Amino acid sequence: MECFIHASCGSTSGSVAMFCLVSRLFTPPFLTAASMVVSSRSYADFTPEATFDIKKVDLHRLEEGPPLTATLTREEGLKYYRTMQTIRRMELKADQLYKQKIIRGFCHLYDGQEACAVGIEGGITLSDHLITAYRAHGYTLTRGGTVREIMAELTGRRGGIAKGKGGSMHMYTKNFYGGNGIVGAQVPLGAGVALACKYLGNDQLCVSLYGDGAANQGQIFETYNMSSLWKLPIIFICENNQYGMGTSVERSSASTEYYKRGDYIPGLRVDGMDVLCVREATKFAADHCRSGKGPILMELQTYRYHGHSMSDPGVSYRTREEIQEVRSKSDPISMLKDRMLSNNMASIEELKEIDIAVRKEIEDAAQFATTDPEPPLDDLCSHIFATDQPFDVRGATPWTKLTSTS
Amino acid sequence: MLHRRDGSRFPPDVTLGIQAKEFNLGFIRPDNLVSHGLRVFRCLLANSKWASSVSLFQVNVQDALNQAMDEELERDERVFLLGEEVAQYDGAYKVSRGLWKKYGDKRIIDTPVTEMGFAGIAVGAAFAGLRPICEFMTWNFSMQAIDQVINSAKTYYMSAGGQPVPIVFRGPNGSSAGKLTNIYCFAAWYGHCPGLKVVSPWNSEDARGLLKAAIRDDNPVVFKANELMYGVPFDLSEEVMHKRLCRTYRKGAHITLVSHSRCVGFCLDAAAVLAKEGVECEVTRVCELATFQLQVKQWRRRGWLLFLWATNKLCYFLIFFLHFICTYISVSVSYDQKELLDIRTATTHLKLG
Repeated sequence: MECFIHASCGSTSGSVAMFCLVSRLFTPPFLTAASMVVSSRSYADFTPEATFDIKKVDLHRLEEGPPLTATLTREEGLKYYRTMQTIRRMELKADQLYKQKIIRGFCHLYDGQEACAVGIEGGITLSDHLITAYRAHGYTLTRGGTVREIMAELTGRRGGIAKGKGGSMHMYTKNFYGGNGIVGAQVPLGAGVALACKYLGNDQLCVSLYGDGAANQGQIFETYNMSSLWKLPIIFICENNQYGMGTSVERSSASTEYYKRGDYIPGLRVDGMDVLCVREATKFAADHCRSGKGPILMELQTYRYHGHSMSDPGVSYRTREEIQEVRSKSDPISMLKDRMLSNNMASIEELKEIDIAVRKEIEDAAQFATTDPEPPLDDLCSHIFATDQPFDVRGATPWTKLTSTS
Repeated sequence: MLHRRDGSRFPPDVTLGIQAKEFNLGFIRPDNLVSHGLRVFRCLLANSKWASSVSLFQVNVQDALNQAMDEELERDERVFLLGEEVAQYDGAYKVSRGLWKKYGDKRIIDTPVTEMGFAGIAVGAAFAGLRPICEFMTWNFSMQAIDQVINSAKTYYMSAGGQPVPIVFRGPNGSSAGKLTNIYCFAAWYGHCPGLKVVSPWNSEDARGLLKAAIRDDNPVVFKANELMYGVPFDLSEEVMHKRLCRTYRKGAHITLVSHSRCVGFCLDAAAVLAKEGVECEVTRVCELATFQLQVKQWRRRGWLLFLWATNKLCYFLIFFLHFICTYISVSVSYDQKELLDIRTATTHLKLG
């Protein structure tokens, strides 16, 4: 029996030690030396918790903002690191598969913005609701999807999260409403979900995300009005990655202070590359909503490394130097890694092992996504209507007969 | 139907008296010509063969819709109504009269004049498990929100059955009296959207039954009534649910007249006139426009098929839709080698909106 001390990353209690002790007692003597695999440092050497200074948040119509320090435990740190690394690797794998034409259609990649998804999830719970636009792979993962399901959905196979019928922009999990193709349309939908939370009185809230390009949409302002009027528990989050497709914020918006665009709605401008900053701001915003004060708006200043979508090289409207500079100075994963290493919260080997495990997970998922069969032809017409009797669907010609089932 | 200011109605004999007075020429002035015409028209409607004779269960379409919503609001806590002027104003066309007083602010919600916003909010509420009724003041204003209506229909499919959208979009559709704008019929526009159920009732029984069925349905339903039918009384039976897709109001052997909403009334009138000349017409109302259940067997017996549709004659969607229907019928009927001539009528190609 082997004893994996280093793999139980989440344990800070003596359970690991107990497990090792017990396994030593029951391991046959001739196996003891060969089968014990230990890391160079045991868990007791690591700092269980540390407090970090985070950037001050710009406020609009608020007296106080989120705190200037954030506490991170070792488990949380490793969890955030693993999730962000998974999103990064998954997006890079999707890039690779797209170039091999295994993934087709729309594919909008999220690498560079991982701190937003992971930080927001750190500030809310899985019983809260979230809705976003088309750059949704990261959120599908943080909201309960698995890498296998996401990649199989991208390749359009039956093992996908929407059985291969939704694709990149239509992934749904419990309390996660996609994945929406029309720019800005998801914001009123999010307010509707918040209305349902208030109607049902369940103390949940809805996070409704949009980008800097969508921030100029009229329906978003209509939504600000109604959610403020009816005091809906909604957090509006503008993920400002500086470019709406190929148009920089200076060229698209008369006012680039997106956190002030809500006017009568309080706003925060947050460093979106720092997962702790995002987490603290989200917690603050969630408290604001849950106390019945109504909506709040957050602008996360972040950056995407890839172009708008796979058809965009991403360098015609910005320079490679700019992308390189952000990568070297503000990469969210590197920032968290440096913090944990410099505060002795994890070892380099441990983080490398997480990297290896993540790579393996992504490889397995890609393998599954490539080999899983496509949905059967019978599925073409199913799910047109819910809870209906099967009915005939008109095909491309009058004599084509197709049947729909719910 | 003529109403007293307190909401009660004049009995028919008084209606006739007022009708007689309306024909007094001294009463007509240039500035009230249109409203006079409207009053005469309404009197005629109230006393035409469409309006049934006075009975205890006579209900006009407006009240039938009101009853349907009231019953469903009472039956299911998740149902709520939102739209412009639906609460304190009692509805722009008084369809939601009394509901706000009974159910309060939580369930009958007045919205600002922001169709795209509140239609999206209604769809989002449906995502999260509620059963909203979203009212557009007229379907012309739904153009502001058409993206939210159409895309609500795709969600169940794109999520492979994971995310149903149990929403009803309601409002008056089509022509109104004396108006030159906001009178377009959107049946053909929405009828082409897969995943969206489009219903267009004619009389009170259809209106009540179909609205109840629409609210209980787990799919997005577009419910179009006609504003001119709101005031017309019909006999209302006790039948609650009414899901028949095509309904035949008059049997006949020579020609089939197919229509929806208010035009059914014109078809019935035409059938009555033709009957005097010995031509027997079958008048059928199509209720659900998207999944058009063609009663081909019935129509095979006759060689003439007439569609009466109150939309723009050269509307692309209408042409496509009717062409499909006619082609389908032509192909099916050709097996029996019957000669089929179909005629489409619609409004003159003047303008939209």
